[in-house]
Amino acid sequence: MLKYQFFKEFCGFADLKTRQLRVQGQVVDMCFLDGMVNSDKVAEYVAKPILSLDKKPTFDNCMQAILFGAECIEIDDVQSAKKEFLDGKTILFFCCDERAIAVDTKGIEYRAVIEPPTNMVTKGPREGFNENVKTNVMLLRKRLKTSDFRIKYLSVGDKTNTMVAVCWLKGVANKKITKQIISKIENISIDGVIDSSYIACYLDPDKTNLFRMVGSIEKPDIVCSKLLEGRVAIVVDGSPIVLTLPYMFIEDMQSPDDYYYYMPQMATAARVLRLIAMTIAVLLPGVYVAMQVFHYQMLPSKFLITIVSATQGIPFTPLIEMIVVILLFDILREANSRMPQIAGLSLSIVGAIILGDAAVKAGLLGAPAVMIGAMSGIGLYTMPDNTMLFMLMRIAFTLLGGYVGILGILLGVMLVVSYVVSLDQFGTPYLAPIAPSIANDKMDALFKKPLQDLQKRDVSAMSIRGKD
Amino acid sequence: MNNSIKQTQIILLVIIVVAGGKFLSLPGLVAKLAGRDSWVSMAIMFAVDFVCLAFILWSVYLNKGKSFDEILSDVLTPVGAKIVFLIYAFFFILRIMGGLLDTQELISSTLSVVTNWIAFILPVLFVAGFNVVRGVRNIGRVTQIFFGFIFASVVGILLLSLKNTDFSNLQPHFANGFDLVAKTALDVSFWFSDYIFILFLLGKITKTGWFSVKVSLAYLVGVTITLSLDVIFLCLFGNLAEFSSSALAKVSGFNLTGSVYGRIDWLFVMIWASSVIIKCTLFLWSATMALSYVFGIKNKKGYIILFALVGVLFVLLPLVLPIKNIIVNVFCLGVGKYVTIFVQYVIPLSMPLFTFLSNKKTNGGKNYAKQKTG
Amino acid sequence: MQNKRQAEPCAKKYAKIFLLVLVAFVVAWVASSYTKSELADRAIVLGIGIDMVDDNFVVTAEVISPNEGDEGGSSSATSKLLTGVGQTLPLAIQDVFQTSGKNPSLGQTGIVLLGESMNNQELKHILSYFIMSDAFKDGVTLATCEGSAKKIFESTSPVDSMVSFALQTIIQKSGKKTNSTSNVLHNFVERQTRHSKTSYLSKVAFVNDGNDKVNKNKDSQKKTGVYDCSKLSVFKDGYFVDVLDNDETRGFVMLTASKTYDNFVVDEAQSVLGTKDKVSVGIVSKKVSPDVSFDGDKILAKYNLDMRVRRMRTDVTGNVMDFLPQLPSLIDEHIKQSVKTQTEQLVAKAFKKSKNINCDFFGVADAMYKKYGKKWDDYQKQNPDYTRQIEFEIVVNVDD
Repeated sequence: MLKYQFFKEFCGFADLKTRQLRVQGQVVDMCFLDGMVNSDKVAEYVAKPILSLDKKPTFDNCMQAILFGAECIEIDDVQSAKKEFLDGKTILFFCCDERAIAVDTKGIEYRAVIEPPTNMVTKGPREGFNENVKTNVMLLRKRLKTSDFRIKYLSVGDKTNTMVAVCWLKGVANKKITKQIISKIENISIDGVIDSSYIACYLDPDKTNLFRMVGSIEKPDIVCSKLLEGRVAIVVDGSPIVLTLPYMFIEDMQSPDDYYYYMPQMATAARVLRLIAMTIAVLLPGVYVAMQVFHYQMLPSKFLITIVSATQGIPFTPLIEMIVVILLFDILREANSRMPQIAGLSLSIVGAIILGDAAVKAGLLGAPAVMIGAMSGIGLYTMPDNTMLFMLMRIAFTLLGGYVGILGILLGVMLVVSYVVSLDQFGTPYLAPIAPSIANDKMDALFKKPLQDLQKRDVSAMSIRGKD
Repeated sequence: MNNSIKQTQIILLVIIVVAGGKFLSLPGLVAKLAGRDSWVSMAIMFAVDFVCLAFILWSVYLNKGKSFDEILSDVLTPVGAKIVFLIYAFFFILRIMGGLLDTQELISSTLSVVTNWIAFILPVLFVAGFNVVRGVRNIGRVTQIFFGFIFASVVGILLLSLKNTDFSNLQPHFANGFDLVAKTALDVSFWFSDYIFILFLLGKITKTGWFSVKVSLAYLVGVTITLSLDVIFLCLFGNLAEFSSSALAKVSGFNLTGSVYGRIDWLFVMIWASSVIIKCTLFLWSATMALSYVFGIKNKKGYIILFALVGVLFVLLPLVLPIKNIIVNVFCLGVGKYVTIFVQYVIPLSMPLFTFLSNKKTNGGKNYAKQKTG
Repeated sequence: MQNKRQAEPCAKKYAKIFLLVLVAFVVAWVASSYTKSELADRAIVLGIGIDMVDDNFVVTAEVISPNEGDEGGSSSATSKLLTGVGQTLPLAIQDVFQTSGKNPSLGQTGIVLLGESMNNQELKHILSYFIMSDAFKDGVTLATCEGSAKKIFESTSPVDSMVSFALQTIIQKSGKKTNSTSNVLHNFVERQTRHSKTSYLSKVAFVNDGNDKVNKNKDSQKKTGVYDCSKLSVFKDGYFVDVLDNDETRGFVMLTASKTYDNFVVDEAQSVLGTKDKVSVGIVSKKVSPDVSFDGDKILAKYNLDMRVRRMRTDVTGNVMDFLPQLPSLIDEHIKQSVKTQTEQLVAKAFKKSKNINCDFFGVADAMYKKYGKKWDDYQKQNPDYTRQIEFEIVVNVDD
């Protein structure tokens, strides 16, 4: 009956391969998906042991014979059979038996464990996750040799049945948070999960979806450190990006390099620099436009003369001029990210030098606006995960600066801050440990203390409590 | 609306509300009334405020988890409490309007951002309203983010101004007699007692770790900042101080004369202006809370409706009434100040007694904590 | 790959659209309600000259003028002079911009120059126009000039092609000799409201060096020269009183500003090489301790002046303001005595001038008021010409 239902389901599958193994007059039906299995494994771990049996190939005998070689699971319903079969396993059906065996003969090719293009470090481990959930979990496991390292596998997606591994450290991560995360993932109702970002959407409490409240990391060493801080990691099959929760804004300002240089002063300087760069990236174009349209007195007289000279004859208003510069930059960035690497390099040169210079010479754009747009554009990349958000924000602040002046920028900043401080996730405020101020966690916030001083784990990441 | 708040946040809020907003039209007004000794008038009011603050903190110490409305309802009867809250709402609304009208003048006359009242108030109300609806916790957190910048801007302004300050300009002291100074102090009392927002946090404050001492110190920090700026302002501007409508912008810009510097002080002024917005937001929250007690509203939707009503008042009142003149002529120089003094000083000074009586009343009946949880 | 969502009710959808439109409308209205003015529409004033011609104010404004066709940079920008006439100062300023068709922007104004014709005007009232404007910097440099202010703005100097910048630089630098704090608009007006009701300003004189500069279009010729700011104009109760000559200015400044310096020439002094020669020495630091008091019907104004002097030299950077390191043998008693005598003479001239013109530019009345309060008020009411009652005394102490 099981065999009949199974074959009825997969009847007409082009890549379905079946084979009958006849041993001592009894037939065992073997089926697998072509391309999903390793044929050597099928021959070695399935066909060979069965064919060399000196007794009848019943379920029990086969299970015993195969067990020597490969992982196998007993199946007694068609749903499980389907799931295992589609996962790349070889299924064995037996005569007059309602049970089947699923043998792990997966032979899918995965990317090697190489250094990922994101989260690159100058010093430190260079391993990166690949698209195989098992490999990724293994990369974590090999770093966390403790029985406290716990994993729960879940399956998400009605059509993709994607394997999702929720990992945490028992006794370190908050139980309630872990339970909530698992429950949220279990309740996801979606056809398919192609990447971990699909899961992230369901875990992100920010209704505007502007502020990323789920960490995304491509390096096992970073995930390990997050797990040690009491966070929960979510590994999704098919994605090299591992999610971490709870996530705070301050994490955007931290880089793995900060921890691999043993000088905490360097890390502090780098973080302050990132903050300044972020501020420049988001606010500078707006402030520049506001200065031109409303507050020209803020500029020193001699600098003002330079700007007056550089902007005279430009056909656009300062606001439109700046928006054009920003859009040009963003178009270049977008095109650059999609082009082949070699073409992208030439595009950057063409865009940055030729286009910018030509626009200034043609009198379409002012040189200060191009310079400020470029400065702001470079600043966006100091926190690469938030580039798109900052890009949108700088356009918004430029509009505010152009229409309402520096008052508009101030109110805009206050609104953004008010919104961001109101965000929290599993009881962890998004702007912790700055607002609310948590003294213990501040030791590794904007200013980094030496490793020896970081004796206690981050409070904000670990616990649900009424933080004000 | 999340109204839980941390001690640190209350401390920062106290500094912000004491210093914020007092450096717009107030120094000019006090200078007009008391001349060179106007800083003494301000110092007197701060001293009176300190006593009132001590009484409020005493009441916080005595309080056993009751909110402000519960205490007042216990002692003054629910109707009496509602009248008090109505006066509080009125007081807060006037204070916010005064502050925002001054801010509008600051940005239009100094920063060249000229606009009408509605176009100015709508974005400000939007930001303030967002925080009010989210609760005082949000206001506290916003303060934590901005505090460092505000403090740095004040220090920047002080440093820019110190170069030319001749402190001998404050002499002679009491040239027109102490009476004038004392009278001026009473006249400008409307602009003080900013800490009364703490009353609306009664029952939400955790009384641990030297809370009273920390708040008192925070208050003194706020007073030091305000008085320092006022003294510098008087020393720099001497007899012309009374003509300054926005003291802070005048003080900071005094030394930036050459062609090498622009008005970088405007950045400081704008950052400092955020303290006025935070203060207004906190007072707006207090006004909304006061009105919610009056109308017995306890859900988020009700708060939003109340805030919307207050917002409409904000938009329309300055269009139909000369609010600034009313504030100066009625609540500073006129009899209106005696109405506000009731909520500014009489109630805070009576709070320890009220709290004691309320506690006694509860203890006479059932245990209050049990009542609440039950 | 679709998320399973329930369709939104139609009414809710329309309500959302309506709300969105409403918000967009409000945002657009708010944005358009802010008055904007671009740099290109502004006439940015760097300096203002005020003259009086036939009972009318003539305002000369130096405004930034970018050169057409240039790519930018301060070197390519020049200034233009715009002139306006009006019965009052505000009207004259308005007239400047009515003719230029641009929005006036006085916020960058660095200097206000008063022509000689303004000497008969009540300046306190006139200048209050600037004082009451918040965007106009209180610290703007204020000075008077010989002849008309317009003439000064029409000249040019090797210091800077823009007269406003050149004047600011010179006045601020020479302010160390002529007490730069007085050359500030706010200080000038504020001092007029004090008890002494006096104030003083640098007097700018243009000295033509003969290398006149011909403009590109050759239709006009700019006179090139230097600006001399070594004299002070004294004002009382808003009106011009007199000009202090070089010695009086030096003597006066010696007693007022702690940051000022001065140089002295000493004859027959021991030179570094051992010969007797003229040497120049300068004040490195000084401390003025004024003390005012009543002395019967008279007012006693006693000044203790402690100075440290050094011999002048030119160091490797060519800065003539620097002095030789402290070597006691180089400043002998002869030099000290000479400096003391010269100082006393200079100060005495200034004292004499103050009495002669009945103008308390030393600010004795302010010091008396600070010390005696109401008592001084009464005295001043009874003795409006109190300056003549002042007994000045100076004690100079020169050290190395």
